[in-house]
Amino acid sequence: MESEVKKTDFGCVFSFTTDLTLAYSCVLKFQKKNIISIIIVLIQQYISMGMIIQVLFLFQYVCMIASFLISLRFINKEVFPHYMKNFYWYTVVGFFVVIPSLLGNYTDSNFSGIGNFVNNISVLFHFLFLSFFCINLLCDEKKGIFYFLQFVGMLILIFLLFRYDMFKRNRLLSAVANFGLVIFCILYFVKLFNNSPDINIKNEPSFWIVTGVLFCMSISIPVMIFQNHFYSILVTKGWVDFFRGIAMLCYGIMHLFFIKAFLCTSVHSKIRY
Amino acid sequence: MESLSTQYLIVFILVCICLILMLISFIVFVIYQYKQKQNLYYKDMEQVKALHRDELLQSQIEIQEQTFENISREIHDNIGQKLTLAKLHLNTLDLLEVNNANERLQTSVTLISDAIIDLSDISRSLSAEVIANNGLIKALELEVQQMRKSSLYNISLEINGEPVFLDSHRELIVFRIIQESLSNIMKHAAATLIKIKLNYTELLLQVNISDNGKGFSVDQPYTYGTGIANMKRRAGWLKGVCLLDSIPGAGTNINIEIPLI
Repeated sequence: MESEVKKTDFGCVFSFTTDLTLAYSCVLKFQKKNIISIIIVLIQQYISMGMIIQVLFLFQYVCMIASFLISLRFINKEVFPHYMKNFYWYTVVGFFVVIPSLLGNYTDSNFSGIGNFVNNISVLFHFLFLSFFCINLLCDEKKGIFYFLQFVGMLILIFLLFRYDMFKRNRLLSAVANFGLVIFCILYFVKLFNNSPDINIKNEPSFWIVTGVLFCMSISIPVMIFQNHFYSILVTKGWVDFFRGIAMLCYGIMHLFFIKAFLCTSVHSKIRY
Repeated sequence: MESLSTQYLIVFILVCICLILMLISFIVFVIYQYKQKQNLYYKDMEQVKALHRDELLQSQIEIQEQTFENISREIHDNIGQKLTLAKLHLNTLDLLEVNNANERLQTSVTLISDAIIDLSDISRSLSAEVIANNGLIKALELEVQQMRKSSLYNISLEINGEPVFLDSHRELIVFRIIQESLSNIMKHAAATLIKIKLNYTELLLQVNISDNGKGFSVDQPYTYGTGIANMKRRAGWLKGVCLLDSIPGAGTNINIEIPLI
């Protein structure tokens, strides 16, 4: 009976208040079973998977746009640490890459083909840029080995790009690129703990960026593989939304970490003598 | 159908919460481990710094002791001799023999004047103030000037690169190393030609001291005196190196490299 109440009705407000009151009284009486059942009822009534997906979709793009806007202040400025000097390019390119997806989502126009094509190409940039960033952080003497790894990774990605239809979303390509980046991120942490620990890690932009990338990439690998290989089996809408939601959450969190890294980076105006 | 959708939703929320908790735990773990490592590192650094401070103090004491030794040797061997001779001349002075007395008086005056000059030279060459006030290069120039006066050595000093002022303590140690090597040349090498070259690079101060003396066999460490060991140890205090190259009969070449940073 409760589930039949339309969410736009005023009845919903009363029902919500009643449920909350009930939940509150359960908390007071510490009735665990009742609390869980009330939470389930609340979820059933007021939250839907579609709503969560929309929220995560917004969360992802808001984070992305926020990191893009914050990164704008680094353009043509002296920044410290120096490895952050060109990092704004990642968010700038990312912003332009998501435009087709955003337009496709909020307008009736069909941008999915172009969006997929741009996405597939951007995976190459994504891998190249972030791996280069990690190599810059890693490099001491064995730079050649890392560049070789990057080169091999790029060859595999180019092969995968041309192997499949470029106008369809190539999740295998993304999974392989993300796997490569996970390796570079792990190498960063190995180096972090092997070198003399003389940095303030909480204010170290590279730490936040690499942590964000590692988290997002390592979660998105199984997600991409599941989406790519088990799509025909897990074709139910629930599973599709499930994986989409996880991927969007991860990307949103990664951009939040980028924002944190940008906030840790200090900007100095260029002084010309 | 609706219960299935709710199940997906609950699983999804739980997975998201788990992922976020995992991420937070990972960050906390990394920061905690890093801080632990950092604390250990800073403790070690403090110990190394304390050790270095001790070594510098030790070097200061050693230099001071050597300075006293040099002063006592100079006074005993040189000034003492001159003053004893002057006293002897004055003791045996016979005022009735005017010519002889004048000559003896004149000799005594000359001896006492020489002793005074020697005293001031010693004081100048051993004083750390010269280094503190004028720097290493000026002190070396004075040292070279001093040696030239003896007319026993053809000595040259060459400075290359842009001179960098080390702190006075470090400059004093470098100066003492050079002084030690010059003292060794004077005592053992029987050289006539001495060349001192200072080369300032971006990262290093390179000092080269060469002579045309009798040299010695580097392969036989027992031929080294404590002077060479002192030089090597002092270079080590400054995180530098002191290398010797010598062939019997073909002179000696000493290379000292001290990092500037």
